[in-house]
Amino acid sequence: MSKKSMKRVVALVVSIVLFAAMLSGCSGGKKSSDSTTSTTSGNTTSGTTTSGGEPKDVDLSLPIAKEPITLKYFINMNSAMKATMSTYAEVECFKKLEELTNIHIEWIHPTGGNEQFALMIASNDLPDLINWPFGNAKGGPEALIRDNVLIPLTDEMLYTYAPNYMRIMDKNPEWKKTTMLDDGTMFQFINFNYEPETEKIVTFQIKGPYIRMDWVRKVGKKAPETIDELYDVLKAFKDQNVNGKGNVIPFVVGNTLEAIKAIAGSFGTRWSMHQQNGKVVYGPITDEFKLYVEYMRKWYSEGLINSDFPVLEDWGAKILNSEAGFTIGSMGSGLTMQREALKEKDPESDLDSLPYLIGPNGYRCYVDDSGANPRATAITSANKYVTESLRWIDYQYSPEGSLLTTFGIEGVSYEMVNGYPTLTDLVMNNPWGYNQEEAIARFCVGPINYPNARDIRFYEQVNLNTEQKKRIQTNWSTGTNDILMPPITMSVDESTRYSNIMSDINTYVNEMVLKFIMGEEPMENWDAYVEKIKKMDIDKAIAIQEEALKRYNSRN
Amino acid sequence: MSNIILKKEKTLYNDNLKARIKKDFIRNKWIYALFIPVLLYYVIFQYIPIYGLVIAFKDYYPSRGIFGSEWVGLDNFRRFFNSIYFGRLLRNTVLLSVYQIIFGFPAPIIFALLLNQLHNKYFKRLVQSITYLPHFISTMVICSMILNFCLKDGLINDIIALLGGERSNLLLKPNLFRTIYVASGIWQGVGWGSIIYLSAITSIDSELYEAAYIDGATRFQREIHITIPGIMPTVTILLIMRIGSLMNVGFEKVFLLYNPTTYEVADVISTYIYRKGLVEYDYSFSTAIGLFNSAINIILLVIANTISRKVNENSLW
Repeated sequence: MSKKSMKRVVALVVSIVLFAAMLSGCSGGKKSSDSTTSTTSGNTTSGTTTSGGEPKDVDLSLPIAKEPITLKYFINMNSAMKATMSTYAEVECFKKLEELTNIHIEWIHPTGGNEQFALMIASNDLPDLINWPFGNAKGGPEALIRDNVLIPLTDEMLYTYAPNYMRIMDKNPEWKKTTMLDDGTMFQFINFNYEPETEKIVTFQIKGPYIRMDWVRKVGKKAPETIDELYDVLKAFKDQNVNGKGNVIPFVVGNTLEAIKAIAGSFGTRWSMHQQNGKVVYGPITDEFKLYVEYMRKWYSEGLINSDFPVLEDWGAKILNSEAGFTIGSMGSGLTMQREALKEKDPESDLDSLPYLIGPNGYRCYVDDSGANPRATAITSANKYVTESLRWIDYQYSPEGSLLTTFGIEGVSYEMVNGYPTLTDLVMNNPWGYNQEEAIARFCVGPINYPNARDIRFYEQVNLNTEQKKRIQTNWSTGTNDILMPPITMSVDESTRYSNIMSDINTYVNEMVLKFIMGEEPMENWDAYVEKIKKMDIDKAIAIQEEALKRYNSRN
Repeated sequence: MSNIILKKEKTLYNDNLKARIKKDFIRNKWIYALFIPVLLYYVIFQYIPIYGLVIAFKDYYPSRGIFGSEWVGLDNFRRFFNSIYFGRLLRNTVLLSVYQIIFGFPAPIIFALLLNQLHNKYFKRLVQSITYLPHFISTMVICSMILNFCLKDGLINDIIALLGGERSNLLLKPNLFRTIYVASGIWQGVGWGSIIYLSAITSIDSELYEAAYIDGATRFQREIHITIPGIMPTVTILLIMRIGSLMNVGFEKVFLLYNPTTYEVADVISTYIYRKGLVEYDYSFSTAIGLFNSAINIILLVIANTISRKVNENSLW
């Protein structure tokens, strides 16, 4: 080949390679659903709706759809599933569910965060079902219903096509209240744990204080019950150099400030709006909060809290290194996991739960409400199979559906032993190298946040199977939730005004409270700080919350 | 008579122009073809989305879409100007940028001048390679390094302790934030930034240096009177462009390095927009602030360009 044509060939090859490299950047398109979408409308339709809310008599037997139909379901993928599969379609219980109901689900799992949700709403390409914490959307669920993104569900529709869910809701009226809008409109399906016999909803404690009990014994003290006793224990940790290395962090706090915010409950307050004697107050300007800040300031100045807490990312590492003695955190990823890991390093260690601590004013409150805006499933306006969707969702709240989604496939992932669904070795001690979480995830929904009626017998086998784990529940049930705000909803207009006021106030509070605790701002300036917040219209914000609370309490 | 002649010349010129364009197209059609993707990129991704700015004047709800959302005029802007943080955000943004320009802009120039003096080819190349490397490290990694070094038991504190000082977490100190921010920026950018100045220096006629040497100018005098004026056009253009992005303090780096204790010096307009826009879903508000930001940038750009044109005849346009 001549030099010139050789150059041409090389140039062509290089440009093809570059082009191919550029194409590899494109992500693969969405897998097209391989089921047939029904064109007939021969499925059970709701027909004419009669007013009066009386449930109609319809045939509720399986399969739900005469011809196979496809529903698009937008739902976050839980990390336990993410580890071993790409969509929920691979979970055994959903495969079985499709067989039983003749409804194929096209799972859409968002990879990004909230932006993806907003994009989806704005794009007019709505799926059929959405699972999302709707309280987090701009304008809340009210805006979404107002703008015809989600549809409201009438009592008649619900009692006819979702009898299981409604039956459980009616047995738990306090819970039913949390799911509806102020005017009583129902639109979403929440998830919960329930006792199948009584159909009562049960909550488990997932957050609380825990401490190195071996260190407590080493410094000659007993488990602290009050804040002042805790102070003595923490001081002893530090003064007696309990880990022998000179770098003891008695109370470890990370840059999310979770632990230090949680302990405010022992003073009867929290870093945001809460109830006090039937009225709504803003925590950071109350006297109880001032007392709490004074205590934390003292603890910080004596070195009982790690000095770099606003920037510390990996506080868990401090526990695993035997530097930290006490903190307030969650059960799964916190206490349980850290306890196991510590035991491997140091068999003498004893990371154990504590009951909620009683503060100087006698308060003992649980103030975390990361569950305030629960994830729930709602039906969109683009859904053409509303009754089938309702039945499909409702099936998972029925006794059979609950067993299927909680435990998986009978004979494979669980066996009925004397009428008690027992998880088999295949999931508990998986031989293929999956850890327990991942093995469970392959067969069923198990413990994750998913709209079904989660049978508590699952928890009993996985999360309550040791004395220590049972103790966590008893210890952490000691926190009262009387100062927490219930999940109120504000109207679209109210929530705009509220967030306009609160956003700057929140920034100011976060800065100033840290400064007070870390000693950079003298406590004499406390009153000036409260004044400034009042000037920023906090009273208007409190009034809005009061209104919303009144409406919540009168829901039925 | 003269009118007719002028007219004739004009039409001749126009014909020539059309013909010239045609010729140019035919001759260089592949270069134009190469240019089309770039043109499309700018039109599709930069120009067309400009219409989205209209949400700055609306009360935008994603569920209503852009056209369905209510028009509120200048409300969002008013809210921003009346915010108690407006003054602070403006001050932090401007100060951080100005410090970066005062300390960060001359650094590559000086570095280039120094490099130019090196005689040993291999040493010069070695220095260049080493100093270019930090530029390629991503912001996230740089910030991890900084976070680590500034820890109480980190590298910088080790040095402080050696010199007899007291250990403390440097990123919790508001008065150190700007120093850390600007200094790390200089460290990262001085090598790479000097490339363009070095190339400008090499384009200066060496005869000028010889003539100056013969006239008895010292090394230092040669630098001041030949090199610096020689790279002035480049310096001016780059300075104008720098000023034009005065209000664009990079979001990433500030976001990774700041925390509530340093908000008072570190919170800049872009981090505020992030918190309001993405964390609190206040899309209209944050768009309005962004628009305000860009408007200031344009004004600064025009002012800087005009001043530069008047003062030393170098300008972008």
